[in-house]
Amino acid sequence: MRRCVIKVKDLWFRYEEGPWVLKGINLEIYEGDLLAIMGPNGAGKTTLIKHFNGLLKPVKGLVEVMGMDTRKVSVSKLARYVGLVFQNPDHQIFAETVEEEVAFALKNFKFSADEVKNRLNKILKEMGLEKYRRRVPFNLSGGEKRRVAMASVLVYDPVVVVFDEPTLGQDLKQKERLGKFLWRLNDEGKAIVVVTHDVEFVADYIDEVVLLSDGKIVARGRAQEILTDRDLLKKVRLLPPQLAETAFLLERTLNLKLEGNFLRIDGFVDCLRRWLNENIDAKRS
Amino acid sequence: MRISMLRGLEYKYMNTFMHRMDPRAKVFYPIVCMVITLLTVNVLTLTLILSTAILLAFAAKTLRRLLETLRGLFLLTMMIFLLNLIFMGVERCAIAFAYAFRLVVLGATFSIFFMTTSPEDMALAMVKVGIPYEYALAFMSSIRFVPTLARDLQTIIDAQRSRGLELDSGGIIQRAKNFLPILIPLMVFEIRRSYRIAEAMESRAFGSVRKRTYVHELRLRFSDYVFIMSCVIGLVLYLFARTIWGV
Repeated sequence: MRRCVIKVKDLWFRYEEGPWVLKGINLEIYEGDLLAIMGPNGAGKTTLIKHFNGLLKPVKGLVEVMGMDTRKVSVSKLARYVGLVFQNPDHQIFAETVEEEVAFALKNFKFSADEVKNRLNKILKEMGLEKYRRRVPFNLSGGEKRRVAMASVLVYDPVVVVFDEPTLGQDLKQKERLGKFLWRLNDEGKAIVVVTHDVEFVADYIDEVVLLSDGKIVARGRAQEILTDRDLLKKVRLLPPQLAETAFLLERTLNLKLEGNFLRIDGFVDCLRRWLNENIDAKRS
Repeated sequence: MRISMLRGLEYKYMNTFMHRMDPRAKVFYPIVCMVITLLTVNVLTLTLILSTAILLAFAAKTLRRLLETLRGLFLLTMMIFLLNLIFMGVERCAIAFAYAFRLVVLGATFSIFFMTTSPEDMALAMVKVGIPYEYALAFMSSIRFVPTLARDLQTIIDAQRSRGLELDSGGIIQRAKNFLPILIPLMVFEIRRSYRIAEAMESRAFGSVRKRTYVHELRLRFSDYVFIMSCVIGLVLYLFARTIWGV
C-alpha cells in the first residue's frame, strides 16, 4: 500500500488580515503520485505549496507531512522530506561555485563529508552539471541555472518534490528533458507536484490534475478527464491542449468521437486508428 | 529587523487631507519632529511628538500600518536600548530608554510622510526645489522599489529556508553568516533588475531632452501654508520651552 506523504485537511489561509487565499482545501498526496496543480493567477497555488514544507502555517485546518503537523515542526525538518524548487533560480543562487551551491542543503542537514561528496558527484552527473562544478553559478545560462537549482534540492533526496512553474521560459527541448526527468524521479517512487499553467506540458507528462480556483479545489482527476472538460477549463481560465481541441473539432465536424487517452500524440494516433478500423469495418460489413 | 518595518515606506493611494497635501508642506512635519527629537531626551516631549504622529496617522487612515512599522522596529529599538544600557551603565537607564525611544519617534514621523506621499509627488517636489530630475528620479525609484525589494527578500528567505537554512541558529557570528545566502542573491538580483530598468527607460528615450515637461504641477494651497505654520509654531514653542524648562 502506498504511503500518504502529505495530507491537507480543511486548510484555510490568509495573509495577515487580508482576504482568505485558501478556503477549505482537502488534498492527499501519496508516494509515487505525479500531480499538477493548475488554476488561474491568484488562485492560491503557490500559497498552497508553501504549506507543504511549513513556510506558511494554516490559519485554520491542518497540514501533515509524513504524519507530522506542520504547525509543530520547523521548516528545516520538513524541508528534509519536501523539496521545493522555486520558479526563479536567481532567488536562491549565492555560492561561488556550482558544487558549493548544490551542497548547501546537505551541509544544512548535517550530512557527513563523505556523504556530501558522494551525493554531489552523483547529482552533478545525473543533471549534466559535472563540467560546470567549479564555475560561478551566476554566469551560467538560464537553463543551466535552473538545473543547478533543481540539483540543489534533489541532492538530499526528498520524498516529495514540488516544482513551481518549472516550464516558464523554457524551450521545447528543455521541456522535453524536464518531462522525462520528472518521470524518472516518479519511477523512483517520489511524489512529484508541479504547479503550472502549461496545459501542453501537463497533457504530455503528468498523470493527475488538481484544479484550483479562488482558493478552492474545483476538480481532481486524471489529466485525460480534466483537460478534456472544456467547461471546467473555461471556469479556471485555461485553454484545452491542442490535441483535445482537435478531438473536439473532429467530433463536431465529422461526428468522429475518439475514445481513450488522446492527449499525447501516440495515444491520439491509436484512438484515431481504432475509430477508423471500427467504422470502416462496420461500413464494409 | 522584520520585513513589516518596510511597510512604513510603502505608499497607498487614499483620499485624506494628509494624502492631498503638497509634499513640500508635508515634509516640514518630519523635519521639525526630527530636530526636536534630536535635541531632547525628555520622554514626555518624545511621547508628545509620538502622539501627534499617531493622530496624523489616524487622520490619514494609516494607523494600522504605522503600528506594524513600529512593531517591525521593536527588535532594533531593543538592541539600541540594551547597547546603551551596557555602555552607559544601569544608572542611566532613563537616557538609554530615551535614545531607543527616539528611533520609534523618528520611524513614526517619517513613515507618515512616506505612507501618504506618492513617489511621483516626492520627485516633483524635489524638482520644484531645484534638484535635477535624474537625482529626483533615483530617489523616487529607491522608494518605489521598497515593496518589490521586500517581496524579493521574502522569496529568497523562503527559498533558502526550504533548503534547510536556519536563520536563528548558532552564536552571533554564525547568525550573521546565516544571512549571507540571503543577502548575496538579493544584491545580485537587484543589481540585475536596475540594469533591466535602465535599459527599458533608455529604450523609451529617457534623457533625450534636457527640459522636461510635467503632466501634474504642484501648487501650495492655503491649507498647506497653515500646516507649515503649525509645524514652525510647534518648533518655536519647543525651543521656547527648552530655554525656560530645559526639556
